[in-house]
Amino acid sequence: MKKILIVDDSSTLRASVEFTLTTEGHEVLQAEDGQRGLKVLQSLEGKEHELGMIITDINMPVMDGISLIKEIKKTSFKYIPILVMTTEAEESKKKEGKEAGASGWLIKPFDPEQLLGVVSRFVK
Amino acid sequence: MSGSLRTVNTYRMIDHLEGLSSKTEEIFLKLGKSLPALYHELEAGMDKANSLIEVFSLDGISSPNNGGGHIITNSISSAEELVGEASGFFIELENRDSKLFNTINSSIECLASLENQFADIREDSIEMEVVSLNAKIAAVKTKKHYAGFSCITDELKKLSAATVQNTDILTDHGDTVLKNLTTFNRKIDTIQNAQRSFYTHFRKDLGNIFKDFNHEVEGLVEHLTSAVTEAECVKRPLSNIMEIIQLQDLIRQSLQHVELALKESDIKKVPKSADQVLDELTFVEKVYLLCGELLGDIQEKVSRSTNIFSINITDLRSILNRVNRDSECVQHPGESGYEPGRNDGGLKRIVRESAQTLEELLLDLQESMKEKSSISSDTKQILTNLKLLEIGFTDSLTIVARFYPVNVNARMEVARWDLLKQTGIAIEEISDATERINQDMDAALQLIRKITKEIDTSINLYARGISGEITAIGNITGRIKECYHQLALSGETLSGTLQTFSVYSNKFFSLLDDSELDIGRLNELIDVIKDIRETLRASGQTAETEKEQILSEMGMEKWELKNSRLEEIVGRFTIYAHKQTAGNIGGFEIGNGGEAGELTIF
Repeated sequence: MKKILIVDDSSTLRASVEFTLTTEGHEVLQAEDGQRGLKVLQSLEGKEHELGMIITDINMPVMDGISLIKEIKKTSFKYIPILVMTTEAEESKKKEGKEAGASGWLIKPFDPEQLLGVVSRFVK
Repeated sequence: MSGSLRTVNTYRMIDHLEGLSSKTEEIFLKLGKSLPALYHELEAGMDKANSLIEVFSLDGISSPNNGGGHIITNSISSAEELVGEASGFFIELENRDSKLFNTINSSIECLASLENQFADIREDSIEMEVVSLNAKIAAVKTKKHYAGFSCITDELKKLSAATVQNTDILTDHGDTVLKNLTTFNRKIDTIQNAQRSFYTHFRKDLGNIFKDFNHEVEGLVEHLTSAVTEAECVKRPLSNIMEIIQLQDLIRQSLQHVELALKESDIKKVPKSADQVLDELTFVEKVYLLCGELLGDIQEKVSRSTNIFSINITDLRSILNRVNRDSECVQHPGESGYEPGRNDGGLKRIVRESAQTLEELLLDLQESMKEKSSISSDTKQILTNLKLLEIGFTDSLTIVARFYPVNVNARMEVARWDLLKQTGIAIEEISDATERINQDMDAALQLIRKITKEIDTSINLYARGISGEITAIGNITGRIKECYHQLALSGETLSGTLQTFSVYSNKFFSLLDDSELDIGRLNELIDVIKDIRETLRASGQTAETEKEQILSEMGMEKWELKNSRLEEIVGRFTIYAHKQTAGNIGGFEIGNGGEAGELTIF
């Protein structure tokens, strides 16, 4: 199974997503903001094929989700699917995410089955 | 005027809100971190248990994953194979022992006839003594030839007496050998009986041990399967808890929204004109209303979380109780919950009793072998005594051989002197007695040689067989122990796996106890939220009353909010539903947005 990176400043949200994914056999990497998310990606350089997907929040301290997506698109991880998982639901925000390079937008709170559905869609 | 604007201590309330945020995070996170960790431990236990169930299941189909066979079936087959092999071995042993027993019996009979033979020789020798005495008396009558003939009769008498004495000694030797052989055969008989008894017990007891084991392991597998099935049910309530844990992220953001709004509502510049006061009062009134709404949303989320935690923790507890009951059935058989018919079970008891039975069986076997080893020294004694008998007999032959020349001399003397002939000396009787003694001695010698040869051959064969038996018995003993060891180990593994389940369950129980206390703390937080809401509601009402009073003084009916501070606050909100609520309260438009859980793929 490929690894999945979760970037979210909420530790409870990360714990919830981690449980959902690990019970299905995925290995989960975590970061609490965009900048730390980039550091995790740096540690995976040369092993891009091991990463199956990135899930990120939008509103985070230090570096927000949109900035993170834009930074990722400049790296060797640009082809990795990015799912935005946020409480933001306005069309204008979604558009911003799409333009930055996100592959999908999931509004919190969500059903774990729904998340697994998206993951199986993106992670082959 | 400004009194109502200062009724809410904003910073104190913000402290409360921050406390709420950190407390909910602490409680939710504790569940979010601990429960999955324990679940993964339990899952690892389930994987191990499932592998064991596959390996131990007697009805299962062999697969490469379980080493191509089932431990119990294999062990039972090994035991059956062992019993089969041991049967052949013991039958062979019985045949060999019987053969020796029969040989010894036949030798005993021969020895009995040898004694008769000795008795005949003795009688012949006594008769010779009488005949020689009669001859001497007859010779005395002739006077003239008495001196010469009496030397012959004296020699005959001497030889007869020596023969009688020798036959007495030989008879004693024969008796000793006879006693040796009888004792020896009795021992063989005892050993044979012990072997038969061992073999019967061996088949029965070994069979019972494996049957009991099999039965107990079946029970263990049943309980293990049940424990695994129950443990798997843990996932559902756990998932429910983990799903609801994500609400804390929304609670945290919601509290941040309230905090943000309250900070903005704090008066930074004292309003001077009546318009400014009215606008500020309207703003404060709307902010408090908004905060009240948001807190209502938070209260609902905390309350929903608390309910879901409670329900699912109760479910978890009930599932874990069932898992533990299955584990305890195996750990403490005979106590409540253990199925009827199994109350006398318990792997530990069976292991203990089986070990004792095996120990006794093996001890019997060892005793039997020790007895066999000890009779090899008896065989040496028998052979020595037989040799002594043969030597004694050879000595007697030397004496008996002298009868012939003496007899010839007697005949010659009688033939030489008519006077001696006329006395009627029974020279023919002397010759007959000589002949009989020699014939009996010859027959006895043949018999002794036959007995010695047969016993020597059989005993040597038997003694050689014993060393082979010791090796074979050692091999059987080793294999019995190996079969038993394998089963005992299997039972311990199964039992240990169930105990592991129990350990995980206990950890869960302790966490659930803590969680229930945390739920109590969450309920207390709901009361705090209610208090804050009430304070805000009362303050909002005060602001509204004050605003109404000013409007009345100014002859106005209502006041439209002029400043855009509420819109600015909402612009910083991160939850769309809150923006909509704020838009409704402030009377401004919010862009289109989706619902919670909505997924858009770009």
